[in-house]
Amino acid sequence: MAITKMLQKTTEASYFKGSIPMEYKYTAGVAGELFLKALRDEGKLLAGVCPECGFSYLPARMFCERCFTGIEKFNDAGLYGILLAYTIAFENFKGEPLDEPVVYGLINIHGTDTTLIHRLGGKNMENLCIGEEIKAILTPKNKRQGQITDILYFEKV
Amino acid sequence: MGLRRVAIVGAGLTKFMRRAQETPKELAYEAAKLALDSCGLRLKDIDSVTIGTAPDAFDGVHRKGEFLADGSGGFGKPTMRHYVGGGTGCFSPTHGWFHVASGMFDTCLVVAEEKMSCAFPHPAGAFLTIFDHTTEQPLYPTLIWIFAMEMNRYMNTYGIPKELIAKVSVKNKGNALDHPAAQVAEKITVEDVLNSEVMAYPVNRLDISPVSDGAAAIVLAAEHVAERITDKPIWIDGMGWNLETSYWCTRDLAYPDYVEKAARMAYKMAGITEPHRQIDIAEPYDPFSYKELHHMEGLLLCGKGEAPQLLADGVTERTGRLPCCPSGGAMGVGNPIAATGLMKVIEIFLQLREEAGARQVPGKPRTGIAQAWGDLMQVGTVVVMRR
Amino acid sequence: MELKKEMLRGTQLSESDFRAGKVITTDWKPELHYAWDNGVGIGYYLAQLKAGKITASFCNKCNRIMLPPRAFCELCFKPTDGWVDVLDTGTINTFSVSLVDWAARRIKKGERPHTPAVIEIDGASPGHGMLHLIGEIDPYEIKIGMRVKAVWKKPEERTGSITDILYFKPIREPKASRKK
Repeated sequence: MAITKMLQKTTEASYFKGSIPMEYKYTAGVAGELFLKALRDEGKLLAGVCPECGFSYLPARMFCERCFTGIEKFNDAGLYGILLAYTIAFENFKGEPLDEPVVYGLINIHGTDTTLIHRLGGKNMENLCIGEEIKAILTPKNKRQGQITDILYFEKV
Repeated sequence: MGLRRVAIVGAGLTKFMRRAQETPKELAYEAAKLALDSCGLRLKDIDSVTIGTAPDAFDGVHRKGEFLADGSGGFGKPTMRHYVGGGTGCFSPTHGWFHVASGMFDTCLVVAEEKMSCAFPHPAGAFLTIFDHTTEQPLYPTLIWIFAMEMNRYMNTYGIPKELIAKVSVKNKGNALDHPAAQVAEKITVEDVLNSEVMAYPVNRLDISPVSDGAAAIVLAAEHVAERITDKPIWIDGMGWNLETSYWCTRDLAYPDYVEKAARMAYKMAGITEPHRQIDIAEPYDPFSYKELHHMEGLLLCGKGEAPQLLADGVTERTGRLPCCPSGGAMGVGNPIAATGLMKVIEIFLQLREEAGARQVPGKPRTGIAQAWGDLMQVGTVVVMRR
Repeated sequence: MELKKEMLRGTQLSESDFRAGKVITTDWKPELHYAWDNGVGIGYYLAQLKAGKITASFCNKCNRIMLPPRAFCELCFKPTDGWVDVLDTGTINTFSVSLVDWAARRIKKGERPHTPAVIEIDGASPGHGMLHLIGEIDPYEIKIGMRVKAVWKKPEERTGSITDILYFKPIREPKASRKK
């Protein structure tokens, strides 16, 4: 009898447990390094503007994906923007329930052409509306680490 | 076959480095941009994009094809990813070839990238999972084990001493001194190789290519377009690829049968009947010193067990009858897995155009081959190029 | 166009820059845990290992006795026809003496190097080998062609894994057969 017909019950099926034990250290990249250092040291959000089409990327990028040209001009885009969408998460990424729900938003910083995902928090959270003016609230300077989490959350203005 | 002729018209690379600051996207961009600049094209002239990049586990980003798309010029364009482990770089031209030869697109930008330095504790650890998860992983194998065992079997079958194999490291690391992207070029001797620390007998440290970050890119064009772009198009005349069983303990480790099958496929297409006579220059894949010899035999450039003697006689030096790895290969330039194979294709491209600078082999070579190999030592990919 | 060094981009970071955190990095440890289904072929293989046996599968069309056992023959692409127990002895096809572990870390001073080998198992078709370890011999005395036998864990310690075999040890042939 063909072996493939030999497994009669699913309770006979066995499995083997294991893990992939890898860890990662990602560099921020040439542009990413500038962006995160400006955030950490100066509390600024840098956008990169394409010299050909004028498209403004935030976080700053090293090249324009549309024109395939290098970007060398980086502007301080400020901390204010508009809320484009939001969602409320009740579980973490492993599917475990959160102690408190977390609100994530899709944010466009004024004057830039891209969107950013980040947490929403602070005051007036019950009445969040799409289209609201919001502001980035940063962690205190001495606690910043050069990560996107140096922005603590975005808050309704 | 009713398909259009396709040429390589431009090429670009980044430096190959142990740890790059650039993100994978930025590495891909630098190589792709240089490839476009080298033939005076803009992104709008590119109809399609194909991206070759090996295990996601190195860069630590799943869906690496999509991740690299913007840096590879894929924004708003038909973009695909292809992947056959270390064999990727010499499969990349083939994947691009299909896009153009079929008549669907006139141009294709082919980009290969790898950033191995993100992986900790060491990129070698990412290879733990290429072994069978149930019958082999519990033994905690490392990739070096398989190479060492294959090298051992090869040496034992043909009675090849380590001294002959060590000459590959000497030749390639020396050749790489003239390569602009080289990561580990240096002048060494056979004694240096034999005295370098043993990693896994019979492999010593100087028998192994380094861990690398880097990217490479080429531009492909259909015949009528290629002739407008350059007066030196290099034609892709033959392609072959073959996959052996993943039950690697069942293979004859002394001979890469899958490389022979891939080579025969490519040679048939290119009309090559006597490879050892009709091929002027070769870039066999050399992640370990003995692999250059192993692959030369699989590529039918000589008989089984004969490659070490060709090396010893100087036949494979740049000034020899059949230069092998004039670039410096993975051993000297570096080995960012997928990008390495494409670096080799670029070397043949430059050599056939007589633009290889200090690495140029004499004699105006006409027909060259590049070959790569990968996965669980089971894939062979071959490209035949002619001017 | 010749590719010159000054045309190639790439910002090299030194090992010390990287480790000292002079460059901004984001660290991430993914939790990648798996329960891999053993399937029909390997499921039975592991159950048999727990019982102290090495079992292969055979294909009548190709006339092969295959190890590790497969549920389908990859050559003729049909289901394999049945199981057959093979011996727990074999011949070393190739081996290595490794001074580095799976993450390329050197072994500690005084630690025995790892000695993996491809062992062609008696009873399986020629060339059908398995990856395992060699023990009870000085690593530098292992030879291709050596005859070896499995050393098993005690039955109560076996779990249905390839590690139910601890390693393979050399078979010391009786003196009489060496006189030839």
